[in-house]
Amino acid sequence: MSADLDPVIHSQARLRIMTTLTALPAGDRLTFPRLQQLLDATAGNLSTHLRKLEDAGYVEVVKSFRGRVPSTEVGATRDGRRAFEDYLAALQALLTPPAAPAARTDPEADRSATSPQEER
Amino acid sequence: MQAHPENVDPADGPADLADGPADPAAMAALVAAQRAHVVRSTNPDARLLYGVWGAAWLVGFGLLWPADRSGSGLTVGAAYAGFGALMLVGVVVTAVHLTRRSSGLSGSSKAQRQMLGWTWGLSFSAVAALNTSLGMSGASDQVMAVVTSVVPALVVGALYMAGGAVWGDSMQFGLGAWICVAAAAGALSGPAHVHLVMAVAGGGGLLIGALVYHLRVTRSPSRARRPGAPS
Repeated sequence: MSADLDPVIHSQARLRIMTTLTALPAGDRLTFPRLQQLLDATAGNLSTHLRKLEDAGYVEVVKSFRGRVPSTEVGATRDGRRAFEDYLAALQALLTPPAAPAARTDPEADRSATSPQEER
Repeated sequence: MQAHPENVDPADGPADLADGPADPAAMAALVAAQRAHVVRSTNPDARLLYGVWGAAWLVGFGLLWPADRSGSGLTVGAAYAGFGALMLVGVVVTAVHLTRRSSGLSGSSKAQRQMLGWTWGLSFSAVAALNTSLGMSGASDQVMAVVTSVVPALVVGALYMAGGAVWGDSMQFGLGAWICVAAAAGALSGPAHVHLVMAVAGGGGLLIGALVYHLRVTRSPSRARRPGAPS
């Protein structure tokens, strides 16, 4: 069932992260604490999932200094946005299966019933 | 991929994120809920801003109106002090709200919001300079009453209309147009009634705007788009 779904995104945690980052306009980033707050997640757990997304090239993690205070910002990359759109399209396809998918499951009983409809 | 039960933290507060996939419908629901949460948490709440300013205008201009007439029991100085205090409350609530909603954001949105902040701040500084200058150059109370009510309303109306046009928000555009019309009506009604017009049409218009936004939010809770819809 989930063969078509990108395994990097197909986890509740990473799906929520990607949803959060792609809900912002392209090019926008969130600081790590704000992302943590929007997801209500622990820092360590969030870091683990961000690393997987970063390894896949879906998010970029930018570390810098504001004065002397280190700051980490996270944003979805262009590839990440595309992968997320593809994931949503695949999900949508799973939720709206093609018409009459059950026609093949019971050839004896269904063929006579569905064939005339299919010819229309 | 398996769910990791050890990641589930029953304690309140931040927890490890639920991991592993769920069925497609649950995943789609997760996307819709999280997207709505992010949009709600990072965008200004129009109901709050219009509500606060609507109330401030209704009460503030309402104080000034009877202060224009004799025997109202309220001195002009006290009325203007009350009006100023209400405007200050509006500014503080707006600044705190926008700062909270924008916290942690960077990139084009942040730059956009900062420019908008400067737009409001600078235009109202110029309005304050104009009022001060007129006051110092001996403008009559009648002239001051009209200018100090109509000019700020004109700036608000124009900025709302421009903002509505840029963001594609027809509600905000319409509200701005209404404020401009109210400002014109206030100006034409003259010094005796300008404060009444600004209180009722201006403040009332903003409060109705807040109400309409509220109804829009509550009647279509899933303005958060369905997964797969263009974002």
